[in-house]
Amino acid sequence: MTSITRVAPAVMLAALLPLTACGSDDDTTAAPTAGESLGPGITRVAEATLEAGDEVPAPEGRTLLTLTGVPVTNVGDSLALDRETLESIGMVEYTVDDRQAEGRDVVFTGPLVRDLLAVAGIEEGEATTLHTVALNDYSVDVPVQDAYDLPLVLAVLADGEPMTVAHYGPTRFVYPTEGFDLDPTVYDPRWIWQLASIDVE
Amino acid sequence: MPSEVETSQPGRQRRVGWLSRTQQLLLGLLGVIAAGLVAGMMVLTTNMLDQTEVLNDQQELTQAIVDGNVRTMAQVQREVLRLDLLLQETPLDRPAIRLQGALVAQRVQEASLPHQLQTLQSQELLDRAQALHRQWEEELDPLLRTVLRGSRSDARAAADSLAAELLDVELAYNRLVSDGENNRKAVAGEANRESQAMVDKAQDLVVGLLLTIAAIALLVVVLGVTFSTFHRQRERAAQTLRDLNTELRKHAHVVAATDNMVVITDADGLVDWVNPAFERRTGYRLEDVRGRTPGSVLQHEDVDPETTERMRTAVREGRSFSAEVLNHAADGSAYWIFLEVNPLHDQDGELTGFVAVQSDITERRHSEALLRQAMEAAEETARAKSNFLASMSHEIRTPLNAVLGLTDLLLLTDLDADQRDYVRTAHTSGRLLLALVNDILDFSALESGHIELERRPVAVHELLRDTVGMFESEARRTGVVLALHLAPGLPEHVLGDETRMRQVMVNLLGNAMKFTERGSVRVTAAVGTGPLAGHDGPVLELSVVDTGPGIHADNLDRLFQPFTQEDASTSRKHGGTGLGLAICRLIAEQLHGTIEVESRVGEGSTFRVRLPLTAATPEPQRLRPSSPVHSDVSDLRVLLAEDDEVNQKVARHMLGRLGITPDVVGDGSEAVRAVLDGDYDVVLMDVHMPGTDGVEATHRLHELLAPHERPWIIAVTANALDGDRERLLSHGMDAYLSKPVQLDALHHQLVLARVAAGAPPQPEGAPAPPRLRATADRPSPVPRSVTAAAAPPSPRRVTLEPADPADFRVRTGVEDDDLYAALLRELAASAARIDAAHVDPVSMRADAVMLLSAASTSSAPALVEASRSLRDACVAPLPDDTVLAAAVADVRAEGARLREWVVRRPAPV
Repeated sequence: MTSITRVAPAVMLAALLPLTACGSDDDTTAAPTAGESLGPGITRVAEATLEAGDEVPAPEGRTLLTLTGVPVTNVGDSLALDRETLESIGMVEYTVDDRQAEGRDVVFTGPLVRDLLAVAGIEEGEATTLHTVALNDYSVDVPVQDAYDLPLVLAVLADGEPMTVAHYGPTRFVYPTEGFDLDPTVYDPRWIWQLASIDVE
Repeated sequence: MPSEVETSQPGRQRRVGWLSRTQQLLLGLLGVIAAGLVAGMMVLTTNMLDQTEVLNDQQELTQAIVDGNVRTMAQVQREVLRLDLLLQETPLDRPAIRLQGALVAQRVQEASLPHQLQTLQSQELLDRAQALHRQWEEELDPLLRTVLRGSRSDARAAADSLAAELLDVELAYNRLVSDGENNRKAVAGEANRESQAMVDKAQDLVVGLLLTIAAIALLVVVLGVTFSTFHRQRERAAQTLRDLNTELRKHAHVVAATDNMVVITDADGLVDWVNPAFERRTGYRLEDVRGRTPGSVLQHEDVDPETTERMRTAVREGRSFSAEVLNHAADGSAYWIFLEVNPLHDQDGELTGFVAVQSDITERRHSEALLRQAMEAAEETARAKSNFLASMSHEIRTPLNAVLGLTDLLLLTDLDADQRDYVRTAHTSGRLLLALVNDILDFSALESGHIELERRPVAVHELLRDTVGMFESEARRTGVVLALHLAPGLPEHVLGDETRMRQVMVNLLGNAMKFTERGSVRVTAAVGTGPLAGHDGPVLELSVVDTGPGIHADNLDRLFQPFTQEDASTSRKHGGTGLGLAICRLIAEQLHGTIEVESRVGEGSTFRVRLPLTAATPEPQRLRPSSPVHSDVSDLRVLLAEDDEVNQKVARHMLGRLGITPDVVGDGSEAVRAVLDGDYDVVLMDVHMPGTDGVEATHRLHELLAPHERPWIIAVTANALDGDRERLLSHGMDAYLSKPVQLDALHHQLVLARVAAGAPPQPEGAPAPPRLRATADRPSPVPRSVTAAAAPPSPRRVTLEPADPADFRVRTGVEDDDLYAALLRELAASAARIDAAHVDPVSMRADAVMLLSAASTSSAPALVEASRSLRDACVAPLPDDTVLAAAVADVRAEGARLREWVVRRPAPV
């Protein structure tokens, strides 16, 4: 990996982009991944340190989410993910109108579900459905394609803070409320909160 | 040119571009349908707006139902109950309680969100949810903390309290859910009702839509019909236009091809357009004359101002006019045009201009001028001829007058037998010459149309009997049978000119008698029916049929031409002027009739006169200045104005015969002086005199003398053309005598003069002796007729009464029978004085005339006839002594009969 300093003018940077497609490893919080287009109002706030194909370590902290039905596992035949691991997948954030839960606009931060699936060893087209289950056993099926078509985020922070169970945590699926014109009757039920596990099919 | 150009095909509809009644109806229908359509659309739109509003309302309602989250409320109950269960466990499972507490907190918070208004459908319920949220945070959450963190005993107590409160909370949420559910049902019901309303509205909408569609369909149909109607009309209009165009082209061809000049002007008379003929003839092009009046360019300065003014006025008043105008062309040449100008009017009758058609009449004008000159020359010639004739008549008749007058007088002197024979021959020759001159004048006058024919009742029976009677003695002498046949149905009187008719009959009969040596001469009068030019009614047919030598067919055509006889030998054998039949033809033509002849050589000839027949009633006897009972005029003082010495001598002697010794002057001015100096009753005024002529002298006398001072002026002239008499009378002459003056005519005129000059009043109504007057007025046809022979006593006269006292009384008003008897005795004595000693015809004639006059006056019809016959015998051009003797005997016999009648006169009536 070639390291490139940020003294180079933007023009030169643009000219060199094809040569530096993979970006920089030692600057994890600043520049967004070159060429990535996430959608309006969506910013990448953390680069991935854990990428597809990497071994996923067993959780050291409390497990926030458990994936089953995925090729990459770390605890038995499931993939258990603590906060640190989830954040290492890379995070984006955007503001949504959360009038059905918090009753206000909230900035949610978390990894993109498609990145999560990639880390879990799922390529696009290999799965169809995400069977999600909440703490209180509420369950809803989300089509896998949502992860690829939309900036579907597995939120781990709300307004920069970890989310308690009382505040719909510890993880939530968040869809954008601006720019994609999503039918609420179809997508509102897929905003699962107090998410505990996902069975990928 | 008519005011409007649409002309040649009357009755053909020429108005293009206006709508028929059907089209108006269709357009009206279209309007109504369109209005209906608009109204329908408005209704439909309003309906749809309503519908949209309803739909909107409904959408809001159903959206609320969609957005509502009943599950949240149920979830609150579920989490609360699960927490309650955990709290009743012993020992308390604090981690489970913590998690469950968090779930409850989350659900309570979620249930209190304003968002839940959609689920609860009521602010009051939301208030309750929010109150429950506050209750959780303020009362239950502290208890939960104690359960999770307090000592075992505190936790137990707190758990019990919390459990108890949780039951209330659970109940409250249970009610909240029920109430919310009720509200949702109400909303759903409302939405349902809205749906129903929408369905209803949708039905209205469908109906409206159907109506609109129907209207549109109707619109399409009507539009189609309208279109086809308009299309047809356009086709017709196009056809009319094509026809008009064709017609217009024809007109244009005519206008372009004609040699007549056509000019179109505006309403002010300024040129707008001219045709090619105009440009050709005048040499001006359209651009030369456009905007100017044609007159200012073309009109010649010689056109008279009256014509110019007339044309200007007509243009100003917008009237049609025509005129003949002299123009000049661009090259200065002058030409005449006939100009016909008509105003042009538009449909409102407003004057828009004029169209002038001009034809070149230069040649016509030229021909007219030539014709006029020719006519003037011809008239001049005719005048010259007429004057020549009049002059000749004067020049011949004046000396002839002298010859006749002097031979007349010579016969009164003592002559031996030879001398008398010579003188008589000279006298007779003079009379023949006079007859010839008179015939020539007569013919000339008739041919020139100077003769005015009379149209008076003519006693046609009497006329024919008289005429035939004239030839009876000759017939007896020659042995020719002379017969008169009057067809039944022939009116007693017809309208005509007695003198002329008599002239014709005497002429024809004279000819017949002259040429017929044996056999018969028959006169017939009948009413014919054959058509006559210009006359449809009955025709008087007078025929003279003889058994004479006949006329060769080759000569028949020339017979009625002047100066022609059948051949040259005829003249030698029979004499005559050759004018008689020509005069007859002219008279017949003037009487609007015809004369024709049929003849076969060796068998005889038939002359037939056909005249339009109009039956008439006899005129009442006209009142005339009476003939004096005694015709003595010797007391008159007479002035004779006559330049010719011979004539003076004759006239003096003639007057002397009447017992008058006249004063004589030689010209007009002397006559005037003599009249002013002397005291004359009568002036015999020769018209043609050197110096002051008779006409001028008469004028002077009229100027100088009052009517009662003026003598009676008798014009004496040889200018015997008819018409002179009227002319002279109009110049102030009182009477008229034509030369040669006959003694009886002179006498008659003097008698009249004495009456006029205030002689003692005479009984009114006494007729002038008819023949006397005729002789005085104009030459009698009888003496002029070369063939006329004196009539012997006619057998029919025997039937006449010697005297007619009733007629005398009626005519004169004198009732005195003794006076009448005295008159008749005197008349009888006069008749007895006529005897053979007076063989001289002139004096005999004078006696006969006086006897005739007296007999007429005395109402003695038989003696009138006898004395008339005697007079006629005296004036015959070839006096026949035997005839004369017979006439004298007749008169004497009638005189004797009259005396006998007086002696044995009937008892007083």
